[in-house]
Amino acid sequence: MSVADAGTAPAASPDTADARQRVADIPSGTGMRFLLLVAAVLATSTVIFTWAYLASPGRAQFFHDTIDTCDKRYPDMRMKAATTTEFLERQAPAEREWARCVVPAFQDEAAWVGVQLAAETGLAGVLYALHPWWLRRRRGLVTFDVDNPALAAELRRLCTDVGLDREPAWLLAPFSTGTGGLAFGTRRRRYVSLDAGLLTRWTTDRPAFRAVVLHELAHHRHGDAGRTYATIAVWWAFVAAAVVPYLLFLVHPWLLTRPLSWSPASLVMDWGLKLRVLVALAILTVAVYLIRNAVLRVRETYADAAAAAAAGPDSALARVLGAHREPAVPAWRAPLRTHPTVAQRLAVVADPAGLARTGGWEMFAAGLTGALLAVNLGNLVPNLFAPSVLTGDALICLPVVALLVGLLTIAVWHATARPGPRPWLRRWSLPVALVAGFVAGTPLSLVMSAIGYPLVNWAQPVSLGLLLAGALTVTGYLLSASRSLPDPSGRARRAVLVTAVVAVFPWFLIWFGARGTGMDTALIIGDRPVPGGDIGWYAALAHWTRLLYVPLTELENDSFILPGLALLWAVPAVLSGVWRRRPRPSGPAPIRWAFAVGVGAVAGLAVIGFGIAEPFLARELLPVAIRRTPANVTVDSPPFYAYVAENTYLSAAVVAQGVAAAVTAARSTRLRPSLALLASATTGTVAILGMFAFWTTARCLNVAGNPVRRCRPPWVPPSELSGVYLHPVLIRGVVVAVPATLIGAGLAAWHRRVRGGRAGVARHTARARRPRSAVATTVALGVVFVLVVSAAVVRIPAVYRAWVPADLTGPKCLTGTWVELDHRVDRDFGAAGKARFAGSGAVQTFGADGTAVLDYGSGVTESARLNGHRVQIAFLGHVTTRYRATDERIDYRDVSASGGYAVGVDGRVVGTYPLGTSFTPDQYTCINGYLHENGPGYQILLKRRRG
Amino acid sequence: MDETGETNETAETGETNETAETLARRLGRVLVERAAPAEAVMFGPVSRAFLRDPDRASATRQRSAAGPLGFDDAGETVELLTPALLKASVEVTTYLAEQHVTGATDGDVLAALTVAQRARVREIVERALRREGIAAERAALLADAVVGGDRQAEE
Repeated sequence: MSVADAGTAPAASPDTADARQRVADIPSGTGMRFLLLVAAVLATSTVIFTWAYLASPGRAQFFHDTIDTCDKRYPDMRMKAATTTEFLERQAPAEREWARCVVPAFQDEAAWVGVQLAAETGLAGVLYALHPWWLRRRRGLVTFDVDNPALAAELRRLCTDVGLDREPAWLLAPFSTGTGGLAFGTRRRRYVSLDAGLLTRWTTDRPAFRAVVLHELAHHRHGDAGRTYATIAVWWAFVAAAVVPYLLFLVHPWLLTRPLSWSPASLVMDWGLKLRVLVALAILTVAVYLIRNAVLRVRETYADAAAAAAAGPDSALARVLGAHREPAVPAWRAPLRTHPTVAQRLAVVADPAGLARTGGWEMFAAGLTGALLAVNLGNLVPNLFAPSVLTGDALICLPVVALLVGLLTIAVWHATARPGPRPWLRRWSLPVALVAGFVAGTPLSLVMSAIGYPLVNWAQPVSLGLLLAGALTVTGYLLSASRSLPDPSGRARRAVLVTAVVAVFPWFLIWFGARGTGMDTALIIGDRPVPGGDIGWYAALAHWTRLLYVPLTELENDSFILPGLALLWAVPAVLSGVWRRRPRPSGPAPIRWAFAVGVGAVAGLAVIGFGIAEPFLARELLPVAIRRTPANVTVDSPPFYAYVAENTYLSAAVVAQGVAAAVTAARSTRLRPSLALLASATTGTVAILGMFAFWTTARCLNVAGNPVRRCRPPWVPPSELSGVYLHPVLIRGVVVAVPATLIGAGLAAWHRRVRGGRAGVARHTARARRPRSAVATTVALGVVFVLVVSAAVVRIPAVYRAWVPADLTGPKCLTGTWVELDHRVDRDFGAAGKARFAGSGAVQTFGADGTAVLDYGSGVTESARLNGHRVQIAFLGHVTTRYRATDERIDYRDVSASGGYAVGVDGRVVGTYPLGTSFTPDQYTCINGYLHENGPGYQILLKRRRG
Repeated sequence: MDETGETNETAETGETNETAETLARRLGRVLVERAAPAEAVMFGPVSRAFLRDPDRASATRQRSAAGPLGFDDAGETVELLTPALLKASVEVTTYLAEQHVTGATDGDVLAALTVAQRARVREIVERALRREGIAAERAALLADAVVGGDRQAEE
């Protein structure tokens, strides 16, 4: 080996800077994976701290007392409802109020967990801050004050070459015969340690010296040191602050309550639970270690690529790596390594594009850590926001979706950039692996392992199927965007990533809340129409046009869905420059925005045509008696003609959205998912605006047989049109459009193959190149976007109520007007016996001024069977009283009545009496829209009347 | 601060040790520059670390910077002579103190030695190098390079 020329190092050139930037522009997603890992570990800590809370004597007592009190106060919560009505009117309000009642207990628990978590995080911070000291001490590193001017200049130049804004503190491993280096330190204080053996290379083989130093500096350039040592610090803090105390609790469950009462029997107590938790902790440990190492291997390849780019053509990195005599490592040990193999490193040095690599295992690991984060946090967070379950779930789901969709976006971009062998398998295995990881991570979470959740739970195929379908759909969208959008600077990728997160979040939120509850299989068909239920086709129409899938109704009530979906086509439209006049003839096929809008508009007009024809058809097919609207229609009335006709129109709109999506997908080649969504949204919007034609035609023809014929459009407030009709139709349309897009694209591919493929594509592309007005297309897109988003905006008040239920209980809640839904009272008829009477319909009004009125209006009847006879009591008139309410009781005074009641037996009046003027005090529970009164021998459920 | 980067203490108690240490370091630099010039660039911090804890030199010799964010040199090592030469210089310094050789505080201490003393120094260096695992033939060559070269220059 010869002594190298001691001349100056080469200066950084523009080419070097460009090459370095190209490496930096290839996304790795490792930052997100580090973050996911840290978050999963901290989430697991919260479970352990919760257990510690429940083992702490004083805290546990308060917690259990609060829960017991609430259990006693709301017994209906535990009484399973037999019917939907019972659930909605009894159990659900009780559950909600119980959840509100127990909030102080969970807040206390959360405060405890928060303090512990803060202590753990603080410990992690201390460990992180101390890691430079620890490494210096353990490795015997000394400060390297470079007194050789040439070497000092060389090191400064290398920092510039790699793009570091300031020089790190140089350290020396003074007795290390190795030829490597080490990067560590915090963002504010960076260190690079050089082996003494490496420093001899500065004299004997300067290019090799530069290659290694550039590699270490590149770690700092990429921010690897902070992330790596922060992850390690969090892990050790988790071990010290959570795992070790928890293991102590396993050995001695009464450590805090009876520290001196340990016996060997404690070890085997609850051994099944302990075993499951230990297995979960062991798997978590292994998973964290393997995932951390996998991420580190990626960071090493980035540092190699950056070092090679910084050194330019003179880089000796390949030579240095090639000289390594790498011992053969068994395949099972490969995941344990913190560095890639020499062959992998050399491949990236030769071609930095090889950095674009995310495999199935990485996605599996991401899904697994995502599940650990979500499920473990799900134990704590939602309880804090009761009764708004959505708020707690959203706080969990947002970071999980952001990280998982972010990683999926990067993985899809990688798969598109470097297709490799069997590209379709590589691409589509990504979402499958992600979902598989999530499914695997669920039982491995500490919460699930503690409750004995089975490792493989096949009882939720619908949940898993929906999750997989969602992941595949998102992947299809991302693949299309990555292939179709120009992305020289990564701007498109970042925009699409954010868009995908915004679009996926509300869907995942609903899925997360519904998973495993049985709600995800709740499919309800519409009620039988009255009149006309005996006409087979008419009844079937009523059934299927009012098909109700419960999670879908949740989506229809969510204001975040539509803006997210609109962004899925609006953002690509902006990124692709929809306003530009013409694509170049030699360039790729144009993105057919105008075609999608056109197809959507035509499909919408077809729905309007159907809407105009529908009243004519109804007049021919149904007699007027069936078409007539019944008198006294209420919310609970069975469906009648006008209702069925409207549902039929809306269903036609949904079907048309699917057809428009299929046609658009079949006739396009680029950005098909975005175009199909645009076509679907356009169809839905045109169809809903066209409802006026449908309504007006029905009025002009007087299909419902009203006494007065009014041949003019009805007045429908824009907020109602938008919120009640447009919003649900667009969401149902999307659900139909996704499979329709797949069918359309599949049929088109099959058709092209059968018809000789290329000719068809050429014709199709030639048509697509015909000039269209870019301005008109842009305006059309803008109009559809505004209408779609406005449909979501008008839903915000309703959505707000769902997310942040009004905190209305006690006397404050009582004020207002209430309708008796169910009135049950035991009445004593002396020798004839007792009977329980049931009725409904009376109206109770509690004024803020302390007056209350019980109003029977034009008559309220209650009835019972007594000794084989039907006994009815009809009340008329009203009762006025003063009231005073505490949190649980209403007292009445100054009662005055006007009216009376009649008692009938088997339809014959046996007596009439004036209304009574003595009221017994009520025990009551008031929860927002529901009021429950009860006392000796009676209970009344009331619902708040609007207005 | 002298050329080795070490502060000269004047306290009565530490003066003797300090002088011996300074002499050993100065001698060590001469030995390193002659036998292993590639290592001269880091002589200052290496010698300070060695003299602070000579035992650590042996304990950490084979350790490279593998681990998270290390370069991973795949176990590739180079031979470091500085620690062995520093050990030799300490022994030589002790010998010179016994011989009351004190006149070489400003430069090459070896220049002031007699032929016999020089031969003895050569022997000490060779023995020290062999104790550090350097092969006999190479140790002899290095000892010649360190001491013999100087002798040739004198002749």
